[in-house]
Amino acid sequence: MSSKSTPATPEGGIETSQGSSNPLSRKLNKILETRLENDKDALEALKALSTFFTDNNLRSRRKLRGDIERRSLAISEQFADAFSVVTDQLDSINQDVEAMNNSCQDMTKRLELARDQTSDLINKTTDLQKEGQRLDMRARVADAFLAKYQLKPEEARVLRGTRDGQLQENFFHSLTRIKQIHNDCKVLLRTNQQTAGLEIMESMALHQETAYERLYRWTQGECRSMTGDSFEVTLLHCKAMEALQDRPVLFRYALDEFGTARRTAMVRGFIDALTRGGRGGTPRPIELHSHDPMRYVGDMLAWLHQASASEKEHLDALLRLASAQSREEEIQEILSHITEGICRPFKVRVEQVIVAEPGPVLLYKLTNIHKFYRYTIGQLLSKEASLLATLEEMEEFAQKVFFNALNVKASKLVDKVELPPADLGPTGSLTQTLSLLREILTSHDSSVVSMDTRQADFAKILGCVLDPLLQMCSLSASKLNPSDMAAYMINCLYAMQTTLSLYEYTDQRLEMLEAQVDAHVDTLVNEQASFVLTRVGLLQIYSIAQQHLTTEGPLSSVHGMDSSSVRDGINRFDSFLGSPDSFTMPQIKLLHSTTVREKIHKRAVALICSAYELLHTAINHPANDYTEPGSIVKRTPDQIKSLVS
Amino acid sequence: MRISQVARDRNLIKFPQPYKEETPYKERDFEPKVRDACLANKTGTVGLQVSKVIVVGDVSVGKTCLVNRFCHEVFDRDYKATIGVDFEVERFDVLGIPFNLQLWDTAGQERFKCIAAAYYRGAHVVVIVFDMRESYTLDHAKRWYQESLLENSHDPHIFLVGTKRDLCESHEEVQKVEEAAMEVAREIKAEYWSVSSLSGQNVEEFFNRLAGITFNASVLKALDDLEAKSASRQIAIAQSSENRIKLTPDDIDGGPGYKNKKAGCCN
Repeated sequence: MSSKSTPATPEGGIETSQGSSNPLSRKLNKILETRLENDKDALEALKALSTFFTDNNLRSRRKLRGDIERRSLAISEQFADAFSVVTDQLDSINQDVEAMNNSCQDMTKRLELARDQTSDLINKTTDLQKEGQRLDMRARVADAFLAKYQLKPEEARVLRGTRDGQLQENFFHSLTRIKQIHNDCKVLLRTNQQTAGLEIMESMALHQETAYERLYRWTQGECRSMTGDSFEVTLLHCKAMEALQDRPVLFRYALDEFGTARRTAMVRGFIDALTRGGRGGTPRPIELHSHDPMRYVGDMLAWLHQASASEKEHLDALLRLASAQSREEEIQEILSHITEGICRPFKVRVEQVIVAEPGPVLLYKLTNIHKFYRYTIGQLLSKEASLLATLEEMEEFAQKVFFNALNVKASKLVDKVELPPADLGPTGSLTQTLSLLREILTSHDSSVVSMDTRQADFAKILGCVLDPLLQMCSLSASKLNPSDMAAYMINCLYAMQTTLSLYEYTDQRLEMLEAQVDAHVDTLVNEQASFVLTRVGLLQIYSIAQQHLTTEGPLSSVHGMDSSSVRDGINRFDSFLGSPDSFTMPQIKLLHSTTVREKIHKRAVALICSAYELLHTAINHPANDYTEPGSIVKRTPDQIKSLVS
Repeated sequence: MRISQVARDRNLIKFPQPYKEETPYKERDFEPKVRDACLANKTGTVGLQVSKVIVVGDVSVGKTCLVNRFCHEVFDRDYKATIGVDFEVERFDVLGIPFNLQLWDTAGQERFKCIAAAYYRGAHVVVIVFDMRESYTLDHAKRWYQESLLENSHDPHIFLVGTKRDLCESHEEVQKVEEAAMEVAREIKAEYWSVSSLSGQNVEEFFNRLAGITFNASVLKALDDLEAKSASRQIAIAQSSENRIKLTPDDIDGGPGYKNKKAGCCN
């Protein structure tokens, strides 16, 4: 405002313009040139002046300057006052900033100091961090290693087992782990971690040993307790046996233990079945039937069969997982051991039955039933099993006693020969023996023995019975005359034939009997022919005619061969032709077999016809010098033949 | 009376030779006719035919042992009297043709003579056995010969067999016995053999010879019959020797004495 006021003072301006080369003019010009309306400052200043310059008078005009100056001073003072506050504030700010600056500097200094001090530490930390990472890595590797090559505490605990010695399900898992680790160690051994490998192997082996020992103890205990009638082979047992396979000795021992337990169990079961029967008395005790040998022995054998079969099943179940190799041999061995115990009690009883001599038929049935069961049980057990040996022994024993009984009977037959009865039929002892034989052979039919043994048996039995029978017949026949003997023998042989013909494998015997019958038939045929000729008185005539030779002269001149004697004979022969049946020998009528009777009859008739033919030829022969041969022998041989046949 | 179960191979291809050169049976080979027929397999029913052999002789000369040695290849030292008769069938294969020998081993004991005699009939071969150590058994051979022939009107082959050769102490003894035996053999027209059932010496050879001769004869007969049949279909019954009534002295005597006499002989 001061600058404005300066030019605005008209006195000063005029003086200045007059002062310079015409300063006054310039000043004036300047004033003239001023355009107030364009000078806002001046307008403003005038406006402000208008506020306080109210009285336009001299005094006021004179005072104006002062006023304005005063006013300006006041304003300046105001100004100064206002600004002094600002200055104060600025001062305090300055102070503050300075203080801040100081403290900052201080801090920086301190920081620098600290940095100097910590840089070492930081280095160390970084190192440690790296170390830490490395170690972490190793720790993980070590963990993985441990996981692979060491047992978990849990597993180790399972292996050590509980106090009561029970086996847990995961025992076998641990055991496989051990085995696995043991195997994995071999990889270690191949690397340069040999020490570790060896050590781990060692410790695993140790673990394994204890585990196996524990397993064995457990299995042993379990096996020992398997003595009941009904026990269960659990999965745990099977697994135990499977695991024990790796220790053949322990495996064997465990099996033996099982065998011994079952053996006692079987013996006890047998005795129970014999004396107490099943639960609640059904089935009834076997010994209740001891009066019936077949049922008694049959029941015992059936029990043995069933027991052997279930023992085999138990064994198979026990070893069903232990299939690293074929266990058939071991199973058989243990089975023979199990069934061995039963042999004695069984044998004692069967022997008692056999020794009591229940008669040949029963003995034979006993032999066969033994044979059958020996075969049946033989499919379960091996050939070496002592049970089979016992069965065989009993079978042989029964057979021996059977044949002994037969032989005794047979030798009695020969010792006490009955005389042939008057009807020349088979004697009582023959029919009895034959019915016994029939009974024996029939019992064979119902047995289940193979064909080969059957044939051999038959041959032996027939030998045992038939030969003495034939001898007995021969002996008793030896006191008879030939015709009686032949008839008697034919009847006896016929009885044997009819008995034998019902059975198989008797062909050779039948053939032999047939041959013998034929021999005796020959005798009877001859006797019958002679009998007829004797009865009609032609025998002597026939024999002379037969032996006569033409060189000895005519037949009619021989003593007893004259025409009348011959005619008498031939006439009496007619009576035979009339009723041939009345000329049958009594012995032939006594023959039982009609076919044999007819055969003898036919052949005898043929013989008689040929005799007649011989006489006919002789008499008609001119050299024999018979007168009227036609009147002596009226009939031709052909006529005779048609008459009698 | 065992029946041989084992079908052993008894094959005869060559004709078995006699024990001594001197024999009534001159065959040294099968008849050419027989051989041809066998090769052509035209033997007819020979295969089904059975030749019957009876073995007779004194008590305990070894008839059963001889038969058992041959049929079963066994020798039993214990003496067991045969009762009545024992029977064996031996199957042969002669020139490829099956041939059966029926061996009837009779009892030597007097009391069984009746029964044994019943089997003499129709024998094709009679084997008379004697004990080389007991000369009386050889003396009885003629009696056995006659008895066996009584029942056989057609001529059977006769063999005289001395047993227990192994018991003869020296070769000289054997020769001596054989000389005496040859004499008897000549008389009864038999072929002679010395055998030992204990050692089996000559047993097989003897029976083979027997089978050979019998087979030869039976095939020859069958062929002749066949020819005769084709020639004339008629066969006169009288011609067949089989169809004659055999007359025993008893029968001829006839009458009441007949029964008593028989009873006497059987005791």
